[in-house]
Order: sequence, then C-alpha cells, then structure tokens
Amino acid sequence: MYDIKPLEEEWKKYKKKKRKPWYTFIFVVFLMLLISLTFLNYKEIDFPKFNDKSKVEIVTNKSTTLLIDKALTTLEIKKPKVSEVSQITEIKPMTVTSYENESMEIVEDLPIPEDVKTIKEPRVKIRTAEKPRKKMHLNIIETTSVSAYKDVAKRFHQTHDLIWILS
Amino acid sequence: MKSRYEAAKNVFVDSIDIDDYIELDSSVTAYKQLQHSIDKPLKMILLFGKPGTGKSILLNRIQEKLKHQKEIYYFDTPAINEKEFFHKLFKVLTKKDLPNNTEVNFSALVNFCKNLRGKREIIILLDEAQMYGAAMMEKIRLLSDSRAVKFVVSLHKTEDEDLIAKEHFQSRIWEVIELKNATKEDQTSYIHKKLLKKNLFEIANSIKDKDMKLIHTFTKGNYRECNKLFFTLFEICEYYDKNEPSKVNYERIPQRIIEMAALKLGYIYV
Repeated sequence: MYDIKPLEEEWKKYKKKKRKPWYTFIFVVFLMLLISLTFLNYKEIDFPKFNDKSKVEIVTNKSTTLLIDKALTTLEIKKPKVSEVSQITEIKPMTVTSYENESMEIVEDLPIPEDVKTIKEPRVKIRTAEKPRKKMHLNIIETTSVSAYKDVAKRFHQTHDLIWILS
Repeated sequence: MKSRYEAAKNVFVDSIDIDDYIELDSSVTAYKQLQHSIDKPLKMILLFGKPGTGKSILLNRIQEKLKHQKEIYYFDTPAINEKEFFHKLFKVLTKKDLPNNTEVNFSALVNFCKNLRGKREIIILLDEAQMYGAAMMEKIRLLSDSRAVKFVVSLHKTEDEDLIAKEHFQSRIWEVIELKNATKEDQTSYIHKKLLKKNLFEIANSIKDKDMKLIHTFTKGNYRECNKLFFTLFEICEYYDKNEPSKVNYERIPQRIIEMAALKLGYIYV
C-alpha cells in the first residue's frame, strides 16, 4: 500500500487553490457593494456625520426630495419655500448657504420674491396711515362761555385780518 | 481482514474480458451496426474512435457472438513485423501451421484467397491497426479485393489526422463506424452495472449522481479512464478503511477521495 500522506497534502493544496477564486469573487463583490453604497448614498451619509442637530437633518431631507422631483417645484414649493427660507435663516446660516448653493436655481426661478413684496407693500400703506395718527394731538381745554366767546371773537378778527392781507 | 473496497477495486482492473462486457444503449447500437455491416458484401469496415471508447471489447464481443455462425478471427495484438502477420494469416486461411524455415509468398496468398471466393467467407478483426505500416495496409487491401477475406479494421482516431482520407482507405472503406465517449447517463449505468454484476450493491449505492457528474468531468466519458479512476478511488478507500476508518463514509464516496484519485491520475493538478 502506498503512502497516502503526500496525496493528502496535494489535495489540501488543490482545495486551497480551488477556493481561491471564490474568496476573490466574494471580496470583489463585497468591495463593489461597499463602493456603490458609498457613492449612491453619499449625501445621506455625509451630512449626518457633520451636523448633529436633528432639525437641520429634516431641512436637508426636504431639500433633497425637492431637488430630485423637478415636477413638484412650481406648484408645491411655494408655501413651504417661504417657510423654509424663513426657517433656514433663523436656524443656521451654514446650512442655508449649503442648501442655497444646491437649490439656487429653483429658488431664483420661482416668483417667491414677488410674493414677499406684495405682502410687504400693504404693510407700508398701513404704516403711512398709522403715522398721522400718532402726530394728531387734540388739546381739549375746558373754558367758560365768556372766555370762549372772547376767544372766538379774537380768532375771527385774526382770520379776518389774514384774509384782508391776502386779498 | 479484507476491506469491502478490495473487491470493488478489482472490478475496475483494465482488461478486455468478455465476461465484463456491459450492455449499454450506445454499445448495443454499435454492436448492431457492426453486425449489420459484416453481413453486407463489403471488403473492409473501419471501426474507429478515441482510445478507451470500447473498440476492443466490441470486437471481442462480436467475435464471441458470431464465432459459431461465421468464420471469424480476432487479431488482438498487432504483429511485430510483416512476416509474423502473414504467418498468422496463413494459419487462419489454410488452418495449418507454416513449416519451419519457410515464408509466405504474398502473390500465392492472394491467389489462394481468390480461389476461396464463394466457398468460404472469412472475417478478420484487426485490432490496433494503426500499428500496421502503410505497406502492410496496402497488402491487407489487396487481400480484401479477393472478396474471400473481409477485414474489420479498428483504429485510434487522432485529432489532427483524418484516417478516412488516407489513400488506402479512400476507395475501399465502405462502412465506417465511430465509437464515441460515453454520456454521463451511460457512464453511470456502466459503473453501477459493473458493480452490481459482482454483487457490490452497497458500494454501487454509495456512488451518487453528483459524484458521477464530477467523475464524468474528469474522465470525459472515456471507459478506460473511468476504470482507472475507479480503481484508484477504491484503492484509496481501501487504505482508509484499513488504517483510518473515520475518513471513509460508507453511505457516500467522499468528494475528497474522488479528487484525490483525480490528482493521482493527473486529471487535476495543484
């Protein structure tokens, strides 16, 4: 009977060689999966890493969805945009700049600034109406009938003289 | 103590034993085709195929079956030289031994064959005919032209040589029978029938379809290679059975052992 040990050793080497392409294949697939996941979800992965606040995350999510679906921009954005812009300006200037860079075109194309102006204009009108109110001061002086008569007579003479001078 | 694999190993000893002939669909077809060709008034029949496709066993089988009906002779090993071949042929034709210190006169032999036409029909099965030289083949052709002697020439088919295109076959070979390697189903049937013939049922059952797929890949359906692989495989099993029984699965031949046998025979390598 021959010595089986060298054959066993040879078989082990063969098995190792046979499995090698499989290990390589699995490694390559894993690597490709990892790369594709990283590239496809780059924004989603990247932003939460640098921004810890939950409020900011919500804002970015909204912006990404709006960016993807272009058909929704004209009709549905109007109201949220105004609120978003206001929110952004209130919350984080940093996030706003990043958001604006990406959605600058959409924001500019929309008639949002006009709407804002139309809202502001009436406010100006109201303000002009309120200003005279503030300037009007009525000094009500309590007088007697005699003193009142004299006062009226005095005014009469003054105005009469004024009309005469003017004529 | 004898291992159960020892008997299985001996089943696959490479030999041309007519008792070991296994009837398969493909071999039955080839047998019928050859028998039908022999019955036709042909001068020569060419039987060819790759080594290990069952040419020799088929010639043996046909000789065994037809020996009581026809005058049929099987020349198993090719003659070393022309002289030896004609000594054998002289004995077959005249049924006498050639006297010492004499040689066969070829022209006289051809004339003798011509005289036999209509009286006898002699069939000579020439195995391993690729060993004969061109000159010898030309003389065989001249003998076949007498129509008293019919030759069944068994040849190895080579990849880069078209045998039928050879000059001495071109105008005379009227029937060509090609033997091919076995299919997976035929090979499975061959192995099982071989083992069952020796009542080795458990071992036959331990060879599963998946194992046969692997074996067929290694041997490419060649019967001789298949016998070699199974001999080596059972030799390894026998070793483990005697020395390390834990490494043998009696329910199923482990793939490891099949691969080890393939490594040993050089079908696969590191």
